[in-house]
Amino acid sequence: MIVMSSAPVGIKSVMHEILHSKSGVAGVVILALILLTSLTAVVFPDNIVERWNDPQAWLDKPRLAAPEWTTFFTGENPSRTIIVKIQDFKRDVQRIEQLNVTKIELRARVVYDYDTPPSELNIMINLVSEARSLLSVEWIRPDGSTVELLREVAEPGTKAVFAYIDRTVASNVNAYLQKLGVSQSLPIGVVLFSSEKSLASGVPKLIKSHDVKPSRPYELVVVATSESKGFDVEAQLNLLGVVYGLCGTDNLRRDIFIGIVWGAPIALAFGLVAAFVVTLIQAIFGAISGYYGSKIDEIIQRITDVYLVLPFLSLLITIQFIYKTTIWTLLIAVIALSLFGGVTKSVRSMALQVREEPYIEAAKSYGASKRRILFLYILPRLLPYTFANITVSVPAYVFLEASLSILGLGDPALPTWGKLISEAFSGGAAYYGYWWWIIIPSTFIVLVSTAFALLWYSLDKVLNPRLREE
Amino acid sequence: MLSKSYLAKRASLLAITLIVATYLTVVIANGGGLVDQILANQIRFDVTSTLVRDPSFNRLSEAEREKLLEQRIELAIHAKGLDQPFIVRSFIYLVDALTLRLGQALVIKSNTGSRAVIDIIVERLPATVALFTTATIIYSILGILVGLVMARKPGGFFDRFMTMLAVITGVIPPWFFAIIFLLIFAFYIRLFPFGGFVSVPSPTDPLLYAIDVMFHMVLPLITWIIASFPFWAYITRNIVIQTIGEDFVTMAKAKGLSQSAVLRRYVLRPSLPPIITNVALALIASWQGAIITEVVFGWPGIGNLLNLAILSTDAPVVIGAAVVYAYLLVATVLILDIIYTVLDPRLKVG
Amino acid sequence: MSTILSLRDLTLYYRTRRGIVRAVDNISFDLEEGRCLSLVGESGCGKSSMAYAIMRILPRNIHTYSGELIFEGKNLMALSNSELSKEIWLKKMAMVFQGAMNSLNPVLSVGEQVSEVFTLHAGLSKIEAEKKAAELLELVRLPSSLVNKYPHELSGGMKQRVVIAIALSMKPKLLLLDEPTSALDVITQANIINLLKKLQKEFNLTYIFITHDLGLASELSDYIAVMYAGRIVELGDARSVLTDPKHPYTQKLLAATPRLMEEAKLEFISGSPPDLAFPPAGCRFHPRCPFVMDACMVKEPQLSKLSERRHVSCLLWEGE
Repeated sequence: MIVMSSAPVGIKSVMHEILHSKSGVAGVVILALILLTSLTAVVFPDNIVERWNDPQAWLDKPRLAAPEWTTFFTGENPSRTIIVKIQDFKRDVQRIEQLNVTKIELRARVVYDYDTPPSELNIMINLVSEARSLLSVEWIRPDGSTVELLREVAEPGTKAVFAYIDRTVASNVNAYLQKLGVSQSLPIGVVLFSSEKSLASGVPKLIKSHDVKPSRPYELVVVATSESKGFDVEAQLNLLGVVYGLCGTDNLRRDIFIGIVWGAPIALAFGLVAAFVVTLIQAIFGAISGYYGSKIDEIIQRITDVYLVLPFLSLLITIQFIYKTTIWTLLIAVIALSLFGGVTKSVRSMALQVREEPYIEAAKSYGASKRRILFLYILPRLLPYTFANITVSVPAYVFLEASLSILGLGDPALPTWGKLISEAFSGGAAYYGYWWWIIIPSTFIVLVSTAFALLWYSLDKVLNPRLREE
Repeated sequence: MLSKSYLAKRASLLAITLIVATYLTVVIANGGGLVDQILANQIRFDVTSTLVRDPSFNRLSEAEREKLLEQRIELAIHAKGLDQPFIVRSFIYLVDALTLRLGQALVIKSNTGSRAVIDIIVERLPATVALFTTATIIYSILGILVGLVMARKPGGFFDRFMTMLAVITGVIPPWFFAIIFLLIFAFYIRLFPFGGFVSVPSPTDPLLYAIDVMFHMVLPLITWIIASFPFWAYITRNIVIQTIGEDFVTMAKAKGLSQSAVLRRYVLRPSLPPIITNVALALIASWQGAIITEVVFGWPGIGNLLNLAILSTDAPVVIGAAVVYAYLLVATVLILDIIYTVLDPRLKVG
Repeated sequence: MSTILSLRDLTLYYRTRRGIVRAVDNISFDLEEGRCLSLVGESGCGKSSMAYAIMRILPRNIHTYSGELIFEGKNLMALSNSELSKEIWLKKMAMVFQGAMNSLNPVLSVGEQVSEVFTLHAGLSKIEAEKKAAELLELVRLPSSLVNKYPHELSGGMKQRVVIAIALSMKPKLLLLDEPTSALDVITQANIINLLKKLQKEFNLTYIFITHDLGLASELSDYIAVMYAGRIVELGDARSVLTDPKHPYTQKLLAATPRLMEEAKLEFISGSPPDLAFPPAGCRFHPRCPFVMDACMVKEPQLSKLSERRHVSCLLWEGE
């Protein structure tokens, strides 16, 4: 039996309870932080979904990179991403009038002092030309040695050279190695970033810019020659690191931090709306059931009993599996499957008690209609409990959405936290140890839950008023 | 026995729930025309296999065989009333599903090579039931004991600590703990296997096999227990505190009964019925959390099957598993109700 | 008649959110064996707390518990809780709770709850205990077939008799009855009172009968103590208290009691009972007293002896 005599009344008192306990304040603070994070997402470009699913948008980020702060713990200095943009290349244009030929040389200088070679070396070249041109790409190390990466006739247009996996580059590098007298095949990254002497000796050693005195940068030289009019060439050099960003990247090069930020408002919105609507509806039914009594009470209670035993998740899984709905249709399905529940029962018993109080009798005696009494007198008494229940049921819905996403049944396009975890699992994160991909989204889910758990703890009084006798 | 009235009511209610749940599943599933397909395939399969065994059938020419087959199939479909309007069909499927005639799987096969969904499910059932039942028994007892300790000194350090723990674990689903524990104990510390039911290759000696299975069960068990018992303890604690405040407890003390007698007969026993009602709800949620936990640990139960079926878009299995889950749920609640009836004499009479 | 119970300055304060509740404030009296003392007062005056204070069944939130509690010559305050539980409770002093309320364990049968004192206390076998239980039930005029029934199957009056039976099971000397008939209808009330009278004669029991009903008190008691706001304001033998009340509160109480044979206008006591957490200064009754003097607002009156068996706590009578 829930004794109501000392229960706080009204939403204000619930806020009061929350703000006056240490855990409540902690919970509110965490939530506020997460809310702020979600606000940034809203301020971001509004084609989030497209960008998230567009591989082109992420080309300048490394794949499966760990977060940068991990270097603090390992003490190493692994490669970070260095991007030499188009405008940072040194241009040198030569025109040989007699032959009507233009030669453009682009030079990029990169000071490289990391302990490991970059995870990828990618060169984007854009040739503006009416005809073919002669293209050569050379790589110069701090020790002065040169490796020719490409020498070929190229069509106009954009060309992306993923040096580590490009076949032409590979064969050129092999030719270089053979000239040095090295018989074993080495990864291209190792070749490009080891000193020539060490390569020749058979024990490749990474050479940093500062290993040479005075320090010399690595250089990329792109030379394009063409006869055509209006000929131009631009290049961008991506040295992708092994670590990146606050939360690392996933297998599609997406910055997980951005995924988290974009996922925050979705998680919160879903949880809040679901919790609010479901709890409110259940409470209203509970109040009606308790107040009106007799037949209506019976019917509502029987329906509630059936609802309580329904295999909620199985049904949702079936729905999602067959119809693959978006997150908002999912929300409607969740609400439909939760119209009656535990809150209905407990609010009903509270309503039964309030119904017996003398001022209700008084209101009846001066002619107030049943509906008026229900809404003006009874429901306000039930508000604190309802409100508290809304608060503590939010995480359940956040997790529900995450659970469905993990099973691959969530919204197919949105970057929700559950989706991140699901992709991590199918991308073998647990197996290969890409822990950040799993742990970081999970941590955020846990944070939200903990925030609400703290709120729950501080609202214990409202949720269990009978237990606070002294 | 007079307890029949309460149990009878509950049983009929549960039966209704089962029917509603199954019907919903069937209707939803058939929104995509899938159940139709399942049954059509089933009929095709049945008719074909019957005909193929008939020697006179095989003596016919190819064209004739085809024609006969189609004829028979049409007859069968009509006989089953499957060319009726949707409402009628949906009830036919309902009956089929309830009697566990779940059709043939599209992709998945059971270990014995059967395509029948029911076979596939029955194969996986013991794994789920074993894990779930063991976990439930352990964490329920643990939860009650811890709850009692909490109720002894309400507001004390242990009480507040466990309440916090209860609230946190109540809010985070068990599969989350599963992921963390898996990472810690299987990946980093390498104490327990990565999941699965037995090692590969599995030991042949039955005793060693049993031990191997139990070894694999440890991590899922521990995860589930740690994720579940604090909340149960919290519920127990609340109910026990309330019971302690009742008059009959004071009277029991005034009767000069020993502390342990008061605790056992006047605090614990009257608290059990409401604890069980409260926990029934938690158990239902627990079943659903089982699905992802099984996936994380690769435990070959129904949850894992469901996941596999989703990944391979094997609709008949998805629907079949959903129906079996409903059955499991209802069975759990029924068992709880029976226990409740035994414990609370107020239900035994009148 | 020897004195069986002696209270000196018995005090019980609770610690609550609102403050310290002075439920029992320096109560003193002597009670002779075989007699019945009624503690009469309004709800919230602390009379139930008196029962707990005398039995020493204390809740967790005690602020103060002090005074002397001498039972059969022994100071109960000196005993430990386990000694109390083993030797005193039920064996020497027993409390009769409000049976009609939640005093019986809903999940145990009546028989179990009666016989368990024999199996757990007196070490009897189950069969012997059950026999004893049946005897006890007959003692309180209940059919012994009730042993197999559960509390929810019994009427309020039957439950009250069961509670009385349990209280008598170890043949105690003193019975504390806390509003035993409050939740019962008038006829059942009368039956229970008759039963109590018979039992008192049969076993030479001493009763402390707590009630708000003056009529009941007059039926059963030899002595009446009127309680107000945690203190005893008037104490004396029943007849003289009822016919010649000295304390203004007692006078008002009696004036508020309807009489069958009189046409007197019913009076009521203005104001409301004080909050035991913040009792008024001086005499606790002074805000409602028709005879209030200036001194009453400051000085708390003590229980002064008017005659051998008459005490009043009022400045009007002090010094006499």
